[in-house]
Amino acid sequence: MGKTKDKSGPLARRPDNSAFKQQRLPAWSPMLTANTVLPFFYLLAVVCMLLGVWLLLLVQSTQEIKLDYTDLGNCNECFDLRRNVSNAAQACSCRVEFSIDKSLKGDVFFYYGLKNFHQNLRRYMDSRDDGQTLGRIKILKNPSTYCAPFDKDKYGVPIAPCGAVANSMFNDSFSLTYHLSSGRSVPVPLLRTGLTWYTDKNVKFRNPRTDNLTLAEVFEGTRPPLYWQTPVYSLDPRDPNNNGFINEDLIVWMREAAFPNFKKLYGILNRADPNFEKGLPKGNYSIDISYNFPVQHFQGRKGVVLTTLTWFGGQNHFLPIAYLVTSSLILLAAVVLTVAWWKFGKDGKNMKE
Amino acid sequence: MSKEDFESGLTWEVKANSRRYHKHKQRKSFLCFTRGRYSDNVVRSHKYSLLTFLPLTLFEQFQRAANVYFLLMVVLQCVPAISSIPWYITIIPLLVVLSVRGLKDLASDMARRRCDSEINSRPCDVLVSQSFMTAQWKDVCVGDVLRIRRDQIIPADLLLLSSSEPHSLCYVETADIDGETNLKYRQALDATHNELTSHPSEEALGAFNGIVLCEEPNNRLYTFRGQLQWQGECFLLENEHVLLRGTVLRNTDFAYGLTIYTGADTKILRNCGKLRVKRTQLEEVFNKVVIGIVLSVLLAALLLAIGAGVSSYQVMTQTSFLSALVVDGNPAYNGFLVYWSYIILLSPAMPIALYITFEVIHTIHSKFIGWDLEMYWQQTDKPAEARNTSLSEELGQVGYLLSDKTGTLTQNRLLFRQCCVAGQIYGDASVSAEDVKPMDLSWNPFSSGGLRMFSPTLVETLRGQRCPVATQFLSALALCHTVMAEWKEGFPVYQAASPDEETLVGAARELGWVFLSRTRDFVVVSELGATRQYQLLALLDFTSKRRRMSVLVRDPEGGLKLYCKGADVVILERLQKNCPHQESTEMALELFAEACLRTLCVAVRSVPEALWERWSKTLALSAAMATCERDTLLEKLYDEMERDLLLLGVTAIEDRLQEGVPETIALLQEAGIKVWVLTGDKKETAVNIGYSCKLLHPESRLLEWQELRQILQSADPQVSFFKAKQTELWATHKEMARAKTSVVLTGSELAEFEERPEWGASFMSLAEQCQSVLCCRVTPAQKAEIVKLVRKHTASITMSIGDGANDVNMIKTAHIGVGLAGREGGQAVHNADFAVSQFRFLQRLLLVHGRWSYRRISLFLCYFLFKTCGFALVHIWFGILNGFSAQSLYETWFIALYTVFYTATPVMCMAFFEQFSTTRPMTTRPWRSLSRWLRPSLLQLRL
Repeated sequence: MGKTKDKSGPLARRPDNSAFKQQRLPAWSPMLTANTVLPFFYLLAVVCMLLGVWLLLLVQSTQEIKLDYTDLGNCNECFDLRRNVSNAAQACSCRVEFSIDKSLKGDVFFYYGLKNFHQNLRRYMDSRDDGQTLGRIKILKNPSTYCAPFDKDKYGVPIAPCGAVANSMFNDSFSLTYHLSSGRSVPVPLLRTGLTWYTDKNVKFRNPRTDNLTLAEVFEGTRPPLYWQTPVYSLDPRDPNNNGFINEDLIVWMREAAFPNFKKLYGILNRADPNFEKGLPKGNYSIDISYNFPVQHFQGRKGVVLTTLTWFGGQNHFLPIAYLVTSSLILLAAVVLTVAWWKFGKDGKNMKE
Repeated sequence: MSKEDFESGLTWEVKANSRRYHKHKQRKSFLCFTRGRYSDNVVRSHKYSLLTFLPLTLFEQFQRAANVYFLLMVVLQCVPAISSIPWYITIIPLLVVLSVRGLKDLASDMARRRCDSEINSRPCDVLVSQSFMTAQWKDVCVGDVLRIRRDQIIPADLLLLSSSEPHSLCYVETADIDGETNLKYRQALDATHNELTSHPSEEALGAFNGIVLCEEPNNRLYTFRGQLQWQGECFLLENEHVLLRGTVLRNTDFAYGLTIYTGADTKILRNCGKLRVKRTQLEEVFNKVVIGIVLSVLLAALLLAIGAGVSSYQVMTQTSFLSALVVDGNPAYNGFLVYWSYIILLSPAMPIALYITFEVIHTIHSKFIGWDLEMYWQQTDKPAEARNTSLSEELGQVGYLLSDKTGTLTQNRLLFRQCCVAGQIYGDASVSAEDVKPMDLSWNPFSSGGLRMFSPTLVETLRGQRCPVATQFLSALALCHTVMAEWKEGFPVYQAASPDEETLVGAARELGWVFLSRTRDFVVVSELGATRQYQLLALLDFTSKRRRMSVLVRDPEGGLKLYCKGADVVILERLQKNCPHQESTEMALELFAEACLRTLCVAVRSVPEALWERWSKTLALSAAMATCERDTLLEKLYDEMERDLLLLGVTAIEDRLQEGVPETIALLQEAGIKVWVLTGDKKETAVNIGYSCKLLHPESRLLEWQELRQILQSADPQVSFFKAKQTELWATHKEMARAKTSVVLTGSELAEFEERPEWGASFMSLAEQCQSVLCCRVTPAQKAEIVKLVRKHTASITMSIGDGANDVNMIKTAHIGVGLAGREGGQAVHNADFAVSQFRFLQRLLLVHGRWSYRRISLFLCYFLFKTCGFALVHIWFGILNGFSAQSLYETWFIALYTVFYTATPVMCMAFFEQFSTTRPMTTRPWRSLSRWLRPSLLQLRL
């Protein structure tokens, strides 16, 4: 603006002859003709097809074993036992057996899975106090009202960790055993730490400052969620550093799943063991389950998943199938267009109008 | 104040040199309470002050439904039970939009404030106790006596008391008020002139104690009524005694004036009325879409809430540990809360940033119009201008172009080509203006060339004084006008309000009748070297309604003469009976019209002394009457004087077509735009111009009034219309026949039209099938009526283009008004939405900028709605998976920044730069079917 004012003389108000002001910036306007569009359609179909096939192969290369143990085998008894809430305190364990036909090579991940469990309900998702799990000492004993009615018990004792999310934590535990053909059984070692991200364990979840006190003393004056059997400071009896709010199972559970059917990481195969250096060999396996989590109440199912991963993730068929479907739709459209062009528009009449 | 003052409406009282009296009554305002009568001379065009900015801007902005909607959302989000996303998430886009808009308003307000203070602190000389002191404009007060120097801008509306020139004449330039650059003269009353210039002026002015009684402040620029009571006498005041604020004093060393109106009471400030806000059709479509979006959001939320109720009922009965989360254990109540939560969650579907983006885009598009080199007119250094920035996309939808002829289609560079004196035609228009042999005018010292007429016989007749009619004819040309003469290097330079007058006076000068100067009472003319002074008794001015003007002069011999010139119809009906040469003159008129020349008839009347005395007395009486009464009386009076005329002759002026007009009209017609021409000219002239600018095809059939009326009167106009066409054109192609019919109407026929409103619709449906419509002999008011007719009976966008004050009505009435920045003042441009310098620039304006803008904005709207709706629709889908609990799928900050940050630029870039195709094929192959796909695509988006 200031530039135009500086000018004087007879042509002072002459507009600048710049590409922007004269709207002459490089522009490209494709002339869509059959000769340009049809090859493009075919090309796109081929590209999608190739991508789809490639991803499908990639996904197929991962191995996955799914096991729904809700009422499998002798878990049936536990399933019935858990139907009644008053039996919650009774321990129940069961064993499921399965065999692996083809060895799982590489890192093997052990998941537990739930079906029809809506972790994505808004009021459920909001029912937590991030301040508390962040280790703020003040909030520890004074949880937010978002946790209601899981913020305090009926005596007014604050719950730690509060809220519906923590309260409903998945509390089955598993131990995997490998049965060699010789009849000998070897427990399969699972790493139960390293399941979370760095930011989870060090930023989002922290224990309250202990200052020479034990963790149990810090949590004094709070009580564990109603459905919990053990307090939060003794969730992992074997590893004292995996207790309190930084317990990895808790952290994994607290990251709510977006969909009602989900799986969450339970452990990773420890390949330091010489038997499992290359992954899980084929053979018979069994899982001993401490069966605590009731699923009847939400018509759910639960299970475990053993899988290997690629860079693409686990065995997820959505993307390859989406590519293949898209590819076939484009191909169909291309064929229809070709026919139409062949029959009606070949002489270019439609371009004139 | 006496009772009769009230009756005549003169209730504004100003006492000269009594500052204290007026200061006491000065208007003071606090908030909305005002007290006092006279406003001060401070311009306050700014809207906001430090205190009022925030409330005012918020008030203005929350008049937009979208903003209120979002405010409601913020309020809803503060209720914890229903806030599905945190409250700060919605307030961020809202704040961004509000602050962008607020800052824009603030910036323009600051600019106005700076401009105001610059104006308010301009210096002027105020008389304080018998000496002039330099003060600032804002200190000027009603009743002050001011001294204005040469080339100074006048700070308030003044009563001219005296000036440094003889007769206390002074000249003003009114370019700022009406855009006309010619000088106008103003003159003081004789009384004040005589009394106040004889003494040393300061003393006399300091002692001046007159009282002015005049009308209340109003916005009528060209009338003023009042009286000056001084020394026991009462003098009538008129417009010519008043210097208006904003005009510039020229050619006068000093002028002294008494301040009458100041500040907000001045005529110019009263005149800057509120701008009419024109809304585009697209905006209306868009508003409907927004309402649709709101309704569908509410509906979706309702359905989702029902889903939430049902699912929470299931949770209640089946899932023990979640049942505690159902509020109050009541699924219905839970569903009710979820309803509000979903309204919040789906609120991003409401395009909050759309209005502001829309404005930005409109502004840029308008800038593009101004920046276009192809619409820049080098000769006058004028680029095109979009004065109304919000109409750019309407340009692409214009269906009817209603154009003025003179100055719009033609150059308005007038050349005196022919004349007919006493039935004898001089000059030859068939020779083009460049090829005319120059006549030998060396005998005339004032001749400066430029006369494009070759007629030695006329010169001989004149020099030999053989024909008294010819002599009178030229005297009339030299006397009957309102031209001002300015002397530069020994030559008179004429400054005229209308180019016609300038041409005629110029032609008279070339032929030896040189208009030398004018004072209030005298006109000095050199007739073939002999200087004669005519006393100017009355000037019966030109109005578009009267279509004539006259001067009443007393020649040096003492005879009273009325010279009248005007449109042929008006003059011919006022001629005395058995006027000689009438028939031959009428034939000449026809000839001139065929050659596309503009004609004016010139006539004379010798006025008996007795008639003049009687007449002037009545005239003097009229000055004291109220405006409307006076106007009717004046009309009658003038009519009385302008009769029994003796026809002297006819002037014929050529007005050539502008460059590129035929091509432009042909192209616009090809683009499906109906071009109508509305002109005040004669039918023959108009039809000829129509042919030459390709508005009418040489083979096209002209449908005139008689036939048209028959068609309109018939039971089924359509059928008769086709019959009428088929009688002649049955043999040829039907398609051809459709395109080649044009309607020609005249003003009087249109008047008949207005009496039969039921004809309007059928006429429009006929006009739709005609190639063009030509209306001649129409008044400015009728032009506007025609525009209204078109607007009423078609859904198309109408566009008016014109260049003169007579087109202002039409320009204001149409959807889009285009002013041609030509030679006839700036009034048309001032009232227009767009200003261009040449008619042919319309091509680019309509077919390039208009279509681009239309397409860009349509795409932009679709894109914008797509992105906002797409964003919100995800939540409906996600609701199915999460038990309709109004859980957001997105991270909260993403929602906040989505519209205002992440997706703002692509949509804007598209709206700025999208080019449908290159400019070339577009101007040659227009395409206007956008509205056909726009609406369905908007619908699709909603689905």
